[in-house]
Amino acid sequence: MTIFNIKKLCSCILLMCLVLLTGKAVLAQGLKSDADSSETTPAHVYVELQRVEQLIDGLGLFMGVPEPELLGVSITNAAPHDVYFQARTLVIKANRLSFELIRKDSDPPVLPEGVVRPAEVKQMVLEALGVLSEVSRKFQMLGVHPQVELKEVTPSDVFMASMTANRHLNALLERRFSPAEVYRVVNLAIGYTSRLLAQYPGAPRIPKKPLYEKNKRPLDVYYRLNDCLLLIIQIYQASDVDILQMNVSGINEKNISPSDVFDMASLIVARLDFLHKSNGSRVPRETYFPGKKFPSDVYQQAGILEQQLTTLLSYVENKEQANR
Amino acid sequence: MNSPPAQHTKSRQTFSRNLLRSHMLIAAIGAFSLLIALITIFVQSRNVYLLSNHSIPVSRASSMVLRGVQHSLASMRGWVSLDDKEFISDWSQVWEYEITPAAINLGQIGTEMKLPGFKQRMTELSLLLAELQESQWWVLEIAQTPGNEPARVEYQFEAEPLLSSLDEIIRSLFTLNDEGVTLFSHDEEPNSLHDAGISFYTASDMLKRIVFQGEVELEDKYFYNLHMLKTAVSVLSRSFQKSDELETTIRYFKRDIAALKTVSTEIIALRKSYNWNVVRHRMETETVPLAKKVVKLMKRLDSDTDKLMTQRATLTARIGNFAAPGLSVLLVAMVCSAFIISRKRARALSRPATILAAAANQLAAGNFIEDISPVSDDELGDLTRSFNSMRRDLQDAQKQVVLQEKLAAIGQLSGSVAHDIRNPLNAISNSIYFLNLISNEETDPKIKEHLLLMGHEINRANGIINDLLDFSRENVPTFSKGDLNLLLQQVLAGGDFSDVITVDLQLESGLPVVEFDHLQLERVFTNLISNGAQAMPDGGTLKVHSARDGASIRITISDTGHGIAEENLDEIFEPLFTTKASGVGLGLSIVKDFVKKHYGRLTVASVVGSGTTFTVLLPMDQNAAKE
Repeated sequence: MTIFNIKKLCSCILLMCLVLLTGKAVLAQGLKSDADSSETTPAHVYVELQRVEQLIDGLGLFMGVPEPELLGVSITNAAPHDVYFQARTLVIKANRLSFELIRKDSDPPVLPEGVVRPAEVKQMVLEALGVLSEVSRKFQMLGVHPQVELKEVTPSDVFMASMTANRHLNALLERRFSPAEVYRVVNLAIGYTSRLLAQYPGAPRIPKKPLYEKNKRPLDVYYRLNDCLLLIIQIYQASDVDILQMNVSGINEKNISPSDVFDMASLIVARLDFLHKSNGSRVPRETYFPGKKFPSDVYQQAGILEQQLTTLLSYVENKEQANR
Repeated sequence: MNSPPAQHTKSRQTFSRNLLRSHMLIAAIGAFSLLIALITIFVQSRNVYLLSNHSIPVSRASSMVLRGVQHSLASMRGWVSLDDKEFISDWSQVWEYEITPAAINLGQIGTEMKLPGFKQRMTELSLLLAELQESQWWVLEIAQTPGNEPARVEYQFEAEPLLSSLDEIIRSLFTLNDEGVTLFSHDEEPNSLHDAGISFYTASDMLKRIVFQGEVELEDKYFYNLHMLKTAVSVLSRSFQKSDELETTIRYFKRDIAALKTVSTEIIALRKSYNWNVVRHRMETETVPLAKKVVKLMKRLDSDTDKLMTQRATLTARIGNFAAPGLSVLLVAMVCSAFIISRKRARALSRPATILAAAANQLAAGNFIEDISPVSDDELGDLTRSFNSMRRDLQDAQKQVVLQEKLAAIGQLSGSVAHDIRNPLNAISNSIYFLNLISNEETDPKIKEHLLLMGHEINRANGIINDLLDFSRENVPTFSKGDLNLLLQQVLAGGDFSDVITVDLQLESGLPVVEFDHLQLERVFTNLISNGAQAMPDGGTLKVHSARDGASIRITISDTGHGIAEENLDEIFEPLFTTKASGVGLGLSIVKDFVKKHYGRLTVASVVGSGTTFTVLLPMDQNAAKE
């Protein structure tokens, strides 16, 4: 055996050891990540949300913006998937605030790939927390209070907390969430529903636009979207699946803003996204900024969504009956 | 004797049924021809129906879908290019009133037509149209919105605030400078502010041109100007008089320039991307290809339908070409076959009647032809059989008339002739008797022989005369009690049999004494025994038996002679019938007559070459037999 060959052999052994060590490290990292994921509970997410809320409170005080009044809705039976979309909205709003105050812009968060787990929700909340922390630092505000009590919470509690944080954060924005942004989310919901309807041959995917009704307020859009949510609940129930329930009976109608309507639309998208992922239908079309829109425009667009969901419900019910 | 006509039964063919069948056959030929004509008409009308109700509507629906798709594309392009909401309304109506109804109509017609692979194509079409409509809808939604060009949105929401902020900073610095506020530590530094202003406004203008006019080639110049701005601001920051306010302004100046660089990099990247105009990109990559797919599918469908319809049209034309001559030939064939079959059937049906008519004519002319064989099993067959029976009866009656006339003539003649002949015969007989008395041993034997022969012949002549007399007279029997066995023995004893004949006499003892006419029965037995002996010229056995047979006495006389031919058996009892060389043929007729007068029965059985047996059955009680 020549010296050259010995060197070559040694190189190979070293390379193999390196590969093994690297692989082990990657594996360990993956296991740790999995362990982290499995250990994350709604309570952990809730803790991070409380930190976010503290930052928003601080920023509100700094900017002299009062905390908005409570909306008066209650949520039960929420899932991590629903909370994820609220947290995603939180990130979008935090990014916007960041750009407005410190000229730092970030890309909007992507939609989830699969069914969301608490760890992913936590990751999203941490992203919002990071952005808001940076804004706070720029204004030389005090850091986030590290001591937050860990208590038993449900995903619904987390949902409500994220909704409250969203409302508060929206109030801090110079460019608040407008009907145009709600319109865009409603369009996203229409895209999801179209894909779901495409699974039923012959089903009309895009119904005729309902008549344009003038003088609509965000509240009207909110109620129409709530009707859409009820239809989605019925669609789930047709397949014997219990999902989130929203009680809007105690809603504070005067306080409904486009941001609240946006949150409601995001919730609808969250539910449709879950349904869409369960069915394995095609990715919905991307939506774009529609320009100036009024609540009446959104109301009309939500009418399309409502018709689509009614059609989808009838097809789902027929399919379930046929299966039985 | 007339035989009764055959009974009509249900299973039997009747003349009317045959006639009906004949007519039905002709009707069937007509119906067959009519059926072919009807089938031809049906096929033709169906093809015409398919051509008019399917081909044309399919083409119409298909072209309506195609036209609708083109129309929808035009409306969509109109909205995208001209921003006129009328186009959206037009697009909506195209889908509602043109494409969707045409597609539904097409599906219905296609299902009726049962085109191969049509269902699959309709599913494909339905899917494509849904995709196309959805794609167009999204194009309409996006077009004329700022979001159609993401670079503009980014510019509006991110670049514009920065540009505005920077403009404000620069303007404020210029204002301070113009107001004579000492900003710089060196006199030459206002030039740097001037440079910064020029760089900023040039860059700002370039960014706008890049975003709104697509002049992406200005990118390098833009970033160069941005770089110049940054440099100028750096120079300024070193030269500014130190003050908190100015430091903050310069910090924001630098921050916003850095942010503008980041944002504008993204904006320019968006403007340069293939998807810079979402609608245009979506139309090119999705909507138009989908429309092309629809068009291609519709053309394929059209082509298939055309092919099928061409086939049907060709078939229709061929059938049409064939129909006129074909049906004419069929008509001629129908007439010819009807004529041939009718003629044949008419002949078959009328043949028995024709034969009967000819036979009746023959019969009327006195020609008793043979029986006509019935050619059918119907009323005409019955008529034929009746005719035959009638003909036979007539023939028998004619024979009887002739015979009776002959017998009457014989009777008349024999009555007068018998006396006239018998007297000379008696004289001859007496002379022979005298000659025999006077003859002695010296008399020439030849004379004796002739005398004996003469005696025999006279006896035979007397026998014939007796037969004639018996035949011509009404012989009423005179009954007296007697022994039949004894009578038979007497007859046999008186018989003159040659030596080669053996007589076998078997008489049952103890037969009752019965009443009979001695002379007539003696004549009966004599004739029968004599016939038997004569039938055996070369010898044989003559059997004479008597026995009781129920209430009768049976006497059988049989020989082993040449026998009687079968065809003669029925006629041997007829008067004047004989097969012998000598004799008048009255013997057996008389025998039968005498037996009949004793209420008895006479039968004969014979085998040619083996012999003949006559059986006489005589009732023991005449009175009972008579009743």
